[in-house]
Amino acid sequence: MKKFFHKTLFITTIALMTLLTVQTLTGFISLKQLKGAMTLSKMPKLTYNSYVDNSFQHGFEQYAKDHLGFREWALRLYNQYVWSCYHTNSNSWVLVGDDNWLYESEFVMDHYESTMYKYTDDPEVMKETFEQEALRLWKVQELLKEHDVHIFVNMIPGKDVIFPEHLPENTEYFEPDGIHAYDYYKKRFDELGINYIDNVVVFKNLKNKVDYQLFTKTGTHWSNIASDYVFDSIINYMEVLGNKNITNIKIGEKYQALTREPDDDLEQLLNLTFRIKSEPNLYADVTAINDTTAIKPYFITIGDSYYWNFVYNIPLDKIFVKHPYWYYNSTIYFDSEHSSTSEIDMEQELMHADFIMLNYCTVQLYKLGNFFIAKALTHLCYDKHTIDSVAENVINVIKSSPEWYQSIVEKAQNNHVSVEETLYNDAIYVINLEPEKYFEELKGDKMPLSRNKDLVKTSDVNISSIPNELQNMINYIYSDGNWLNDLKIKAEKKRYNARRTGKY
Amino acid sequence: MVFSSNVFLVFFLPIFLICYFISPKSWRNIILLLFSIVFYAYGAPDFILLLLGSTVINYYIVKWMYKTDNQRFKKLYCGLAITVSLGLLVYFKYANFFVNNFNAILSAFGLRAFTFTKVLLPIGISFFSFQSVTYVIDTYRGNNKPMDRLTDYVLYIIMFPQLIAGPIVRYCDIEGEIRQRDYHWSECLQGFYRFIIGLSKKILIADVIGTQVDTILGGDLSIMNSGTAWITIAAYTMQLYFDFSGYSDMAIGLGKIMGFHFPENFDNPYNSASITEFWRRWHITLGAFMRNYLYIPLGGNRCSKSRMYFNLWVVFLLSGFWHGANWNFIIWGAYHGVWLVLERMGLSKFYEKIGKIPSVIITFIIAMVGWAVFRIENLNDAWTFITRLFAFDFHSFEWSHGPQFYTTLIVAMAFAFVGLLPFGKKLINLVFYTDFSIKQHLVAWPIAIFMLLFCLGALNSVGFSPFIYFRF
Repeated sequence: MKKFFHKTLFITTIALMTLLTVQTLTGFISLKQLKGAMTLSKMPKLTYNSYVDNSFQHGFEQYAKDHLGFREWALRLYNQYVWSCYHTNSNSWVLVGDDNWLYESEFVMDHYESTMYKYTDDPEVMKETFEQEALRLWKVQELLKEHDVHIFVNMIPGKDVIFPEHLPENTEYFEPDGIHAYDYYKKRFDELGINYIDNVVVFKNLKNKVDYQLFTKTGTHWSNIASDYVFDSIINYMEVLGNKNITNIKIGEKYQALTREPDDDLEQLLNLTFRIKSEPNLYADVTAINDTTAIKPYFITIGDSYYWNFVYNIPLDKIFVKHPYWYYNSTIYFDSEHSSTSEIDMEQELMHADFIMLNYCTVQLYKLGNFFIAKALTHLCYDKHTIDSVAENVINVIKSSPEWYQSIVEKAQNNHVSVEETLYNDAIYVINLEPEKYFEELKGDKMPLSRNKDLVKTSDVNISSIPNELQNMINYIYSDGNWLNDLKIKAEKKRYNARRTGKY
Repeated sequence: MVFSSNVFLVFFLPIFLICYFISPKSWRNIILLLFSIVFYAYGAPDFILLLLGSTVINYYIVKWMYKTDNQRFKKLYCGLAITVSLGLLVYFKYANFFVNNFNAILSAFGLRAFTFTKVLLPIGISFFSFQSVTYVIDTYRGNNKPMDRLTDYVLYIIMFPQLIAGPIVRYCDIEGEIRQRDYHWSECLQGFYRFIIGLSKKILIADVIGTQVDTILGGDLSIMNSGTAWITIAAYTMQLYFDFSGYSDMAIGLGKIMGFHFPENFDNPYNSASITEFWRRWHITLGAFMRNYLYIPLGGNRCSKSRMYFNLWVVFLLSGFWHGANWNFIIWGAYHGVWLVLERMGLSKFYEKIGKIPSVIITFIIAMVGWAVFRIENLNDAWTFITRLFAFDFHSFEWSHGPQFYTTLIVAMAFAFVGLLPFGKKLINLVFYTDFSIKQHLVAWPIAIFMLLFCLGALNSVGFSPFIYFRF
């Protein structure tokens, strides 16, 4: 009996360890996934060289770590232990302030010194960068206005800005004199007349005056309900900016509920076994107000993750004909045709849009637009032919630099494309990065005189040449929101400007 | 490959255990040998042939040594076999050290330095070299016969549980079990528990403390306050113990699962009331090796007092040198040698007078100061650190290394000293040296499985920092 017991128990032990191996290799038991974005390594290739230089062994250990069977349980168990016993966690992105207030590490850094130091140690260099970006944005705003397209910046406070009193104590930041993008831009936007919404001031004013939480203890973004109110303001702002009637939203009765996604996004990153006890927040359902006279604009957002709250709560499809989201001007969401900004035709997109919102929080304002502004400026001023001729010069410069050229050749090989194509793409990239270097008139604070003639705009159409009846009809369509929206959808399908569609 | 890695825990060990236990008993040595070769070849591809080659050569030399009746040839073969074992150790472990020091002397005299390609150290060479020496000398002394089968001898040298970090198993201690061993399922289970205890010591205590120790010692030592210095060295003292004894526990546990009984390597060393006792409790198998194969051949106690003191000191000097090819290890060995000599000269009587607990405290402090030299390889830095220890500057001290570090340190200390209490002795006896009843297994087994999962969590939580990317 005793022997049988021991034998059974030991065989069970081996069976459990084997289960761990099988789960690691196949993941056949489905478990609640760990939260947060992570890149999982692939099984490394075993070759003689990779074995001898130990790269296979390193890769295999990483693979085992990333795909460990029952990793979900093991990590949650250990994370719960360090959280419950030591009030800390192993995720370096999440810092714990007092009373269980969680902060993203970047925001803590920005509060105690400045995120600037991630980019440069020299405040003067940073100032120059901000200045150049502000001037570019002003030019883009004015140039777009010529096409009845409106661009504006939605400045969002970080959690550290509104709730600094709960921040963890400063233990590692020693350079408090860094420049903050928000401070610089706010001043310059006012001076240059750049369109912006300053939610930093709004939130500071609202703090302790509203019955809901602006930021939850366990989230990094604005709360669901706070973002609802912000979006209501955005619609109003766009209406004034574009002199258009846009579908408004109705924020319903507030009700109390436990913190829900994405208000607990930082807590999710801790991957704990049990939820952190937190106070319930207020929530409200948002609906679109039916208005047949309202138009459905084409609304492009470029920015950071604060936009996702709108996606959660706001019926965007009922308000906009299309609302593509260019996440950090890289991945595109809510666009059936494009998944990356590298795929889009900039000229066409700019002319389709009615509104472009640069949606950035105080920490991310350092990379306002993520190179969109410079690229837009180039395309608003110069046609493809002109840009290509400058690209030719850049290609010649690349070719004359053996190191640069070699890197292009390697890149072409890695991406399985021709060297010529890579050369061209890189040349365009370089131009878009810093167009002032290649187009003299873009320098400084004067509005450039050049215009991209390929852009279809209202002023290109000789109004006097249009028969009166047709003009009347166009005006009639404009006054009928539903008709105009149908036309916009049709135009979108055919990739035309709505005005042009109306003309037909 | 190390025991506290995912590859070992998730792939190597389960696959090995299945292969080992489904094979007929007569195949198990071969299975163990093959897996041991894979274990070493996986981590040290450059040196597996060297290890196997030197082992095979030694096997035949010892066989010839045993067969010959000619005493001169016997001695010659013995010398040759030891030269093969220790020669490799000297070359791979100490060549860089000797050349660097030789070059320093040449430079001092304004001569051109000798150019030399740095030699890489094969992992585990210090352990398997000594094991092979025990085989040669014990056979030479007639304590045992040489192995009949080459594979059994290679298995003795390369057996994966103790290959990398010991314990140093004497050939005569394990010879019988290599030839034939009994399997008891209860022992297999207790071996598994012992393995989990070792894994927990390594991952949950040593690694947690070690991270902070590395951070603190990576800073400017000259401005360190005495409070931080003492906490750091106490932490390192615990880190080293829990790391090394944890590894030994894992090795002993794995051995037990396979039917081997490896000697104990640690016996609550920080409960020692003198440095002499410390060395009977710390790295016991190394102490035994030094005593049997160095101290006694040098004359041991059966000589004049001054000679004995000299022997003692030299043994510890060489013991220090065995730990690493650097001056700080030599000084650390000599430091311990000095304390041993002092104790023989009368210090032990003083300890007897002041009683057990004060002696344990004094010994612990002596050991800690020694570990400072052991840990900080640069001698100037080590000296700076020691001066900070005794500067008694506690003004700027802050508890700034996080609650997990301090709590783990306190837990480590509690475990390290629990053996001083009668309750602690009972606990240690129960956990390590008692055959469990069914009821005890029913308690221990779920704890062991839980701890395995917990250790995997701790092992993999390091560097696991997913970032926000939330959608819907």
